[in-house]
Amino acid sequence: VRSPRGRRVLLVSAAIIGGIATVAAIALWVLRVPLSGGPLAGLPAFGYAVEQSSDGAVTDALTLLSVPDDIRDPVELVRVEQAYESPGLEDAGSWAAGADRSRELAVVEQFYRDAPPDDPRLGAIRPIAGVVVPRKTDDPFGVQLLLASRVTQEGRFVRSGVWVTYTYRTLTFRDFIPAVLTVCTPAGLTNGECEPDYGDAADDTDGADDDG
Amino acid sequence: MLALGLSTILSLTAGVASVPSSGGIELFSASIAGPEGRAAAGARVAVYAYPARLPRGTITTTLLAETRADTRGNVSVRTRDKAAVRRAAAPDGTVHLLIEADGPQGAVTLDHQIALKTDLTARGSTPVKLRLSAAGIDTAALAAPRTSASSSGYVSKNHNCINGADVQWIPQNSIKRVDVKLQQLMTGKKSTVRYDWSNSSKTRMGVTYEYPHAKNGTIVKVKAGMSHSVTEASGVNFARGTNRNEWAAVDWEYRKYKKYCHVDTGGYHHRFYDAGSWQWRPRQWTDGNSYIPTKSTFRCKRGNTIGVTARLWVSRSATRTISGGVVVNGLSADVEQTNGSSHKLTFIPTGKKARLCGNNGYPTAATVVKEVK
Repeated sequence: VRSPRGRRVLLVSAAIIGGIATVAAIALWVLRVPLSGGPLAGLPAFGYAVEQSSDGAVTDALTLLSVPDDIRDPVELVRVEQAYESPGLEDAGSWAAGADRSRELAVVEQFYRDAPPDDPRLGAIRPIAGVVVPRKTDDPFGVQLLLASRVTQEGRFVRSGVWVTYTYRTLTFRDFIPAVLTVCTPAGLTNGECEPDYGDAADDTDGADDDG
Repeated sequence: MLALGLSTILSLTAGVASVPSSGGIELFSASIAGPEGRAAAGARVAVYAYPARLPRGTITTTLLAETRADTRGNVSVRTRDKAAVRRAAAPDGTVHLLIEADGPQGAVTLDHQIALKTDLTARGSTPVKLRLSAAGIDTAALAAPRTSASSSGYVSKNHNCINGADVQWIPQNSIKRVDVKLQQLMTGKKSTVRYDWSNSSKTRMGVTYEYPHAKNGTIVKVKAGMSHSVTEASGVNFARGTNRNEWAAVDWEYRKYKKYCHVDTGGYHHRFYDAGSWQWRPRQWTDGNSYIPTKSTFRCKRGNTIGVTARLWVSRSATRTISGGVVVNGLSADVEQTNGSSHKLTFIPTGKKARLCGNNGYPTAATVVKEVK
């Protein structure tokens, strides 16, 4: 049982903390500082490797976005930014496949060697801003991102993922999707192969929790 | 910076909110029901901690808490022994517990895993459901007052050690080598597959329990949760060709342990008594591995199917519970495999475009992935 003075101190402390939190939340909203941990957060890592010449382009077409079923509303994309681990790859543009894209498969081609890709099965490709990402139950095919990179050097280069900024209701989020892309020029091959990066740097801490 | 400040404030307030209203650390909450499904009001619960790293010999599980369920069979299990919890916690905060519960309806014993934060508050644990079983239990004896700790001739009536101090598991000479299924490898004509597996706490295996039936003496075998296992830093690189549907499996050694209850009778007097039951638990990987053919499959949806021409690694962070993934002494138990950075499932197209589909979503995030026509 706390003394009346102790209770007063606790109440005042709680009020101060609550006040600061409220002011900070309002400031964030006013300044539109994106939050993390939104409806598109937590997608597991995946990746692949592609060979391309040092002046060529690779458009990654494997990243699909959909809103999990436990989220009530769709989200609207603002922008995407590719996260490059090193020089050698440059952002060559980002788009979303058209709403009229082929429904034969969720992804017909894993990647393209031009930017923007020229494939009628992608439908009328559109800028990222304003694209609405549906809930998975509403549209199982989701939104297909087309993320182009241009190779500028000889070697092996890694894009560790994509930052996606989007709005959900009145809030703006910025979350990371660990879609790992490795690009090798002929000089970057190891034993004739382009060794994929496994995104370990951005991965969980399972190396530390081994019992042995 | 502002976001960081806000998150700090929020985590601080969350920290304040997570302080238990009564003393100690909440390990987990549970609801206890009798064999018929009705709430087991007043059921007793004892919780012990396994050592973070299992020894090769006798395993001592340390008593953390004893308590009783309320009239609706609900219980919040707390402990004041923070030091014991810290000793039992793996570096990632995982604590392996032995839970014993009993009431007039019967008893239950099982292994259970919880994850704790650095401040020892539980990380998103869901309530544990305990179903008491009367099989092999002398419920009449259970309903009667327990033998006092000071008397001699300890006879276990329900195989649990409640009202004791610790539980000890003495290794027996019975050892069995079993196949533990880890990952289903499903290829068609246009791809091969690799699964790189590392022996780590990401692989959990079922524990089974045996005791004689109170009436006829036959051995009752039950599943009793999942265990961590003794691990070494090594692994297997599984690789299979086209047109396969097989389980990648590792060869594990299970060992039988006899259960002893340890009672502190006061002063220098300690007493151990035979609880009359045994546990089979995974002891070590033998370094062996195998492939087990299966016909198990799933239907693909077009919305979960993609075309690939470059080798693709998937199913990172996916957790799959494989029902019947291990058979121990004639009893099927579960295996849980969580993939991480040291577990890579990679599909390699053989020159033509392969189509991959996921069982529960896009192949990039699905629990199980296969090649389809």
